[in-house]
Amino acid sequence: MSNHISTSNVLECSGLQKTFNGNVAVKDVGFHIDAGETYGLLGPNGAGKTTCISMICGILQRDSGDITVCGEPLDIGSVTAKSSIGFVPQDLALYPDLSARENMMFFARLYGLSKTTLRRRVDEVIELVGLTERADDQATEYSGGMKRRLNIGIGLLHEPKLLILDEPTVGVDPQSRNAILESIQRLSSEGMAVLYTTHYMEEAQRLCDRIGIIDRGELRAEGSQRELVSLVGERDKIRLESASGLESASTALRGLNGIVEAAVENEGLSLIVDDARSLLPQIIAKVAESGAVITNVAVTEPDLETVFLHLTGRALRD
Amino acid sequence: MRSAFIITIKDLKQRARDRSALLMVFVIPLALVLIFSQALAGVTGSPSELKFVFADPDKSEIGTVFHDQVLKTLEADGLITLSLAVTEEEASGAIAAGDAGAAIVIPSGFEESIYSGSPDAIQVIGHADAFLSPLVAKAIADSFASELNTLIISAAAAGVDLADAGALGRIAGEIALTKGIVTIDDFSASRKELDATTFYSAGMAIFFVFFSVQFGITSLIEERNRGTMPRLIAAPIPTWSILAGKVLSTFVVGVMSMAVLVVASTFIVGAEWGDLVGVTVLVLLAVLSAMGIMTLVATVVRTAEQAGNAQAIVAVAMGMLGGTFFPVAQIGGLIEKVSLLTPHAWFMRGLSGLQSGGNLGDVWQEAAAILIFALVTGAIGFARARRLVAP
Repeated sequence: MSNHISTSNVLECSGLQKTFNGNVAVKDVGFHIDAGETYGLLGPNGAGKTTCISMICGILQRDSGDITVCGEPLDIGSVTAKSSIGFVPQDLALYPDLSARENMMFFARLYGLSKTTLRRRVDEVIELVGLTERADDQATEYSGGMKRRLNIGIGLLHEPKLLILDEPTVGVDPQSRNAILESIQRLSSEGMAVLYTTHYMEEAQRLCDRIGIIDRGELRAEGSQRELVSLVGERDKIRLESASGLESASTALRGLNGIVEAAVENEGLSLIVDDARSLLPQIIAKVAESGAVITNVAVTEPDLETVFLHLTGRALRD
Repeated sequence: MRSAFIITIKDLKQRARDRSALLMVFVIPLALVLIFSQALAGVTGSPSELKFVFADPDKSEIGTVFHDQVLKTLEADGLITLSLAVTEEEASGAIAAGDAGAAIVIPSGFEESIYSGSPDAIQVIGHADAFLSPLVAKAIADSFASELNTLIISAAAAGVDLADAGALGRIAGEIALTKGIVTIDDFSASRKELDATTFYSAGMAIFFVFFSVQFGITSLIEERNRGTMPRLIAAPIPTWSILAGKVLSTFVVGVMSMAVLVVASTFIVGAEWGDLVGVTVLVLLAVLSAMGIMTLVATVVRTAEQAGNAQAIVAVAMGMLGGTFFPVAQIGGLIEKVSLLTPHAWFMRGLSGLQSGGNLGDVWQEAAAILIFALVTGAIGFARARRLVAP
């Protein structure tokens, strides 16, 4: 999708394609990431984010497409390209019977850190992820947040040029989540390229310089948040909440002039409309006719959620 | 190869922290050797430990020939130790006292029963704790009785009157000259067994090495389930080095497991393993065959738990069949033949050859058989295991 070529590109991928048992998981995906840039892949569960980054990390064989990391072509056996990548998988990838220090030493050795830098770097990362006090305890004794931090720390050991994080905050408490996001912002500001997948709009808005919206394996749009929101135009987003009857209300509203998109999600009905102020009375009347009892109404400026709805006809958390 | 060593060291560190693995690899096998070698020492034994007592209350010519020309010949060859009793009760008493493992008794009226046309059986009495001695005694007695029957029928057909003085004696004398009656010669040559202590040491060593090495392949499955496999594949290392690391750590644990048992049983319970080079080769091959078989078993199931269960079943079944708990070689027949479908049986055979003074050259067939197990199962198993480290 992207034809951007730059010498500062840390990651460049194009035409990525992957099919599982005849089902297309990723179709013609391409983008690039520059040094110091954080790129977010935003999409709901099952959109193809993990498949994309698995191919980019060289842990999943792609059907077609090209990937280069720091100018080096990447394939399954590409040792040079892989050495520039730090990978933080979505699921915890730790040895619970080893301590944080032992886990890090093991992976640092695999990434070829020399004896002299090994201990220094492990100590630095342990401190960075806030595990100094418990560094020699077995990981099985850690809290969920500590394990998450260790999981991220392992990806940073060899000071990669490209850090790939696959939904690193899933199941993390707000405090740890905030700490993780701050760390990523700091690493990016130090020049690290970051590829970050999430289905949390707020995280993408906070972290990412550019965002790729992915759905059903296809990259539907990419750009900065401002660029993406501009795709929606001058439209407004309305969210109606009701305990029941939202599906029939959604069907009824789709016929109303000025309604661009309507999608039901999480006991709410999200609408993209041309002009919320003039349409709101008609909308409420239509919903009442369909039998739903509205418990809350919110009118907001377009955001990434609105963009996703606009591009896919579905809410982000469907 | 560096990355393979890094993975090996990590795996060994994990094994060292796994108490259940340590128990299975070192403690339980050694404990069982101690228990078996102390409690069941009489169950098996070398031919030289076959102690018989002979009683001939019938005082017949047949009994005299059986004693003089069969049993004494075996004793003279160093195959059995023989003592005499006058009565059946005295013979039973010798067995009860532990002076003999089995008694062969020519019952009163034995010769008369032959004249009457319905001969009595030669009695064999065994010690409750002895396994081998009664079997051998019965085999000798059966062979003698069978030949006696054949010659009596032949003599009758030829018109010989059995009541003639000396007729039965001559027949019995012919039996003693009959080649093959003394099956203990065959036993000594090809069904030789280890002494009790070494037998159980060797049996436990190869039985438990199958459990020692099972973690290797299941740890590959665990790496996938635990999520660490993608991280290993994402690392800048050749994917083959992941499998190589696992193979190496498994081999090290397997060899350590057996080596500890060999050394400990030698010094603690006095096991005699024989030629060091031969033992070393057999041990290394046994570990490789265990790795091959356990890997193959693990790759036909889906989860680590299923793999563990399937491996345990195969390890126990092969261990039993292969004669690690009882000497199947001495049972003979179909069981002995089927036992050769396990590396365990070849390992035990090989060690028997070494213990009786042989060297590696004398047990090359046994070593080759174990190597074939290792190569065939290993080739298939590791080819299948490659999918576990495939992206």
